[in-house]
Amino acid sequence: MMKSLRVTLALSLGLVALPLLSGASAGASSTPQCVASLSPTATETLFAIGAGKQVQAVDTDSNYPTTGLPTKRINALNPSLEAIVGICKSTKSHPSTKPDLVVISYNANGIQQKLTALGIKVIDQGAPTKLSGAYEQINQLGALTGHVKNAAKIVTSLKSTIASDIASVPKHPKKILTTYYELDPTYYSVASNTFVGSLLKSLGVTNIADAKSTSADAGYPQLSAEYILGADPKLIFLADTICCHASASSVAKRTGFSKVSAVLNKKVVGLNDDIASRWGPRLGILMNQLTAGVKSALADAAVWKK
Amino acid sequence: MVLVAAVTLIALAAAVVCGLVIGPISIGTTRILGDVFSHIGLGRSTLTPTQTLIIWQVRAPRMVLGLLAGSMLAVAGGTYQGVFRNPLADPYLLGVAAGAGLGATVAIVDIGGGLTTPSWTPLLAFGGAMVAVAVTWIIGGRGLRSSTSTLILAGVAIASLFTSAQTFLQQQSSPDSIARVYIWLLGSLASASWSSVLLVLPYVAICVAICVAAGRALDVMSVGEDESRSLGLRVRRVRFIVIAASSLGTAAIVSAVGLIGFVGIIVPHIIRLLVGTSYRRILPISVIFGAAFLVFADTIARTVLAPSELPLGVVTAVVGAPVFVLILSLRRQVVT
Amino acid sequence: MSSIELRDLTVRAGSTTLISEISLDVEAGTWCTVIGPNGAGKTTLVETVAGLRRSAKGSVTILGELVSSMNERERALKIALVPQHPVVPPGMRVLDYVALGRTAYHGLLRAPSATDRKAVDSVVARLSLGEYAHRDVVTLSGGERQRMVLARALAQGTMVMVLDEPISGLDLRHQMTMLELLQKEVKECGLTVLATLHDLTLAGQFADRLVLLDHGQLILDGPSSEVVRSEELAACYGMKLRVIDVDGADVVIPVRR
Repeated sequence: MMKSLRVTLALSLGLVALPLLSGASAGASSTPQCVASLSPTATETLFAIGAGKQVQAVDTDSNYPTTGLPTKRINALNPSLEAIVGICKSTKSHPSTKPDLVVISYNANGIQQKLTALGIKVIDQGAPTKLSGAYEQINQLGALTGHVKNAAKIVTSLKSTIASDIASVPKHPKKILTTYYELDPTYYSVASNTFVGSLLKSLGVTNIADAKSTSADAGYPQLSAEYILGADPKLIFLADTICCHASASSVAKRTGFSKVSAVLNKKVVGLNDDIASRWGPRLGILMNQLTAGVKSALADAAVWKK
Repeated sequence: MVLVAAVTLIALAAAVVCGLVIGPISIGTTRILGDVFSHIGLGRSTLTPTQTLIIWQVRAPRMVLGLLAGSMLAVAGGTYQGVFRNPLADPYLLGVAAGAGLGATVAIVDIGGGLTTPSWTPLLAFGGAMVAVAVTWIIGGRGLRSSTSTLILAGVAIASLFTSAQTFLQQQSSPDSIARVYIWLLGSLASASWSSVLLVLPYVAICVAICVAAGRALDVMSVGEDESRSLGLRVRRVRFIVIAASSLGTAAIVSAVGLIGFVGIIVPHIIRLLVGTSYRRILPISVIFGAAFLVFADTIARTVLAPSELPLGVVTAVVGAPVFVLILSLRRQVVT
Repeated sequence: MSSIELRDLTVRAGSTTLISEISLDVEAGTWCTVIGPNGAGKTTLVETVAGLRRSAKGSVTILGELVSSMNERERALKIALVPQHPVVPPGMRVLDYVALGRTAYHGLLRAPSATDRKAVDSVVARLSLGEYAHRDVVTLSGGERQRMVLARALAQGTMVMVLDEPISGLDLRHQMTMLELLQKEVKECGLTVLATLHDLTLAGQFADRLVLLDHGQLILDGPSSEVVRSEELAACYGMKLRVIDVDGADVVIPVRR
């Protein structure tokens, strides 16, 4: 049985290779007609650069843009090999049901190697640690889907938004803006070596999570209520407003938090969970919100009253 | 007995067919059968290259892995029930589950950052499982003490220890890792490939063979340790071999597919109801039935919410729990 | 050479000494019964002779070989055990239960041979278990079950057998049946028997020799008729004992002081 399997595999690969070769020589477009995105960030990017029509499947967490997403869903944490291999609609121009491109952000169960072994192109666009990484990913998707110009436009726009945001923050050498960024109500936070953390750092704030982060937590230390109260941050960002219904008032209700500087001076900023956890085209919105919070805290005299 | 064997073989054949034919991508049964026949020289295949790929590179290895997993878990459960003379024994009794979970967590959480390639997960899961069993064996008295309950207690202690270590690691790491480990633990055949099959095949083949061959010894052991020894059974050696084989095979399966519950405990009980209490009969039939059961469960798991999949452990539990209750009530009726 | 030889046998459990310095010889084809009050160490003695317990000091030799130097299989071919509380596995047939006695012959990986099957059939017939052969062992009454356990031990085809309280819990008729069966094996097949019994009368009537144990020590060892009339026996049990001869049989009667 193994022998006939090998024969079958050889035959299939051969049969698949033939139309590919002939397609290339006949100048058929190399733009992929069937893309599967297992990363919510990549989904946003693909639709933003105009590749939306080429996307035939997304993962269960992809929820933006709000309209136009394909109905076929794949669980990115437990992806089904068979579902992916047969996900594309078979048409005359694209007879195979195999996707031309699969974008992942987490290599669950070695799915990347397994898909590659079956002749499917996979790119891993995991969370970057720096802004440049995010731009690279947008450009990469643009190149792979034939929307290089659109991708470049988005990157340029993001760069300028972020640059102007950073520039608009007044220099504050005497003011230490201690900031707490909340990932969830159990006080998971982000250190400066994470993506969001690097954005905060570029705005000149002092991230109270940095002191608590070690190599073991990969940049996501879990703080404690006591620690936060002791650090008395002047600015708080909440990235758990949707999942966990966090808000300025809910934070004020936590034991001891009513006396925290950020709460007293109303410097608790709620962010949309999704926008805060992705590094795609809505990065500009995130940066705007972070910047607005920082500027408001810096400008408010009450925050700096001794 | 012959009837039961025949029925289970038929169930196995049906499971194999289901595994190949049913799936989120519909490919006609006759065309699939035609393709199968074309491999043995009868007629020609009408499948497209992608369909051939799906059948032989995706569904077939998944089905085979399901057969291997189901047979190994079922026979390991039956063997444990025989060695420990405890109807509640399952293959994870001596800490295999907790050890594998810890190993997988270490890999997924990526302690130290050097474990980015996914092939570390099965490796560390396997290692973790074997370490847990070894520690349990040593602490539990190396099977020397007459009481197997010492071994079971040691298993409980080690499992608690390893599980708490796992929880600690997860809690220390990023919130994402919790979801990832949880999903892995739930068990899945979703990414099965021929490479994963070949990885576990030698372990499973050998361990299943050893367990089935131990049927007669387990029947002797049903009269307890002292009497077995007086009848000529080397209790300590038999215990060691049987536990080692069951644990090794189970660890191999867990490392490849995660934790699939209920197969190890349910299948031997069902077979026991059908063929009596002799392990010489229970074990071989459990091998076949377990294989068929898991492939059927997997077929349900991947078609009910297609193209999304139910975790396999959920399906076996949802199917297994009512069956378990049914068996218990039947047993009570039989006894009274 | 005696069938069973005990030399200075001492068995401990932790810091407690269960039996100490017991030396005993049981000749081939004889029946030796061990008597004594509860806690005297009778069960420990039997288990050690059968090889289930290790001795702290001293030795047990069966048919010339040290029990401690034999592995389980070698022991099973030499000495069979009828325990006081045998485990009765539900779902097993009587025939299969008796057939367990042949395990040492065919091993764990082979099916019983024709010789094995014949041995089992003959034992089943000898002990009148034929009508129960295909029944579940849990459906047997106490007396039938004891016969079945004896059958398993006989199926082992050993020259030596040790029995721990083989008639406890049985009614009078079944008690006599068991002991008569055992007696037959001793007389007709030359079986060497070492048994523990509570009933002093039956112990005296069915044994060639009696051994009195108390607090782990061997108090008396001699012909039955002598031991039942001894002062040591009465002292052991702390009561007056009268022995009456009834048609040639010794009947031991306890008398309140």
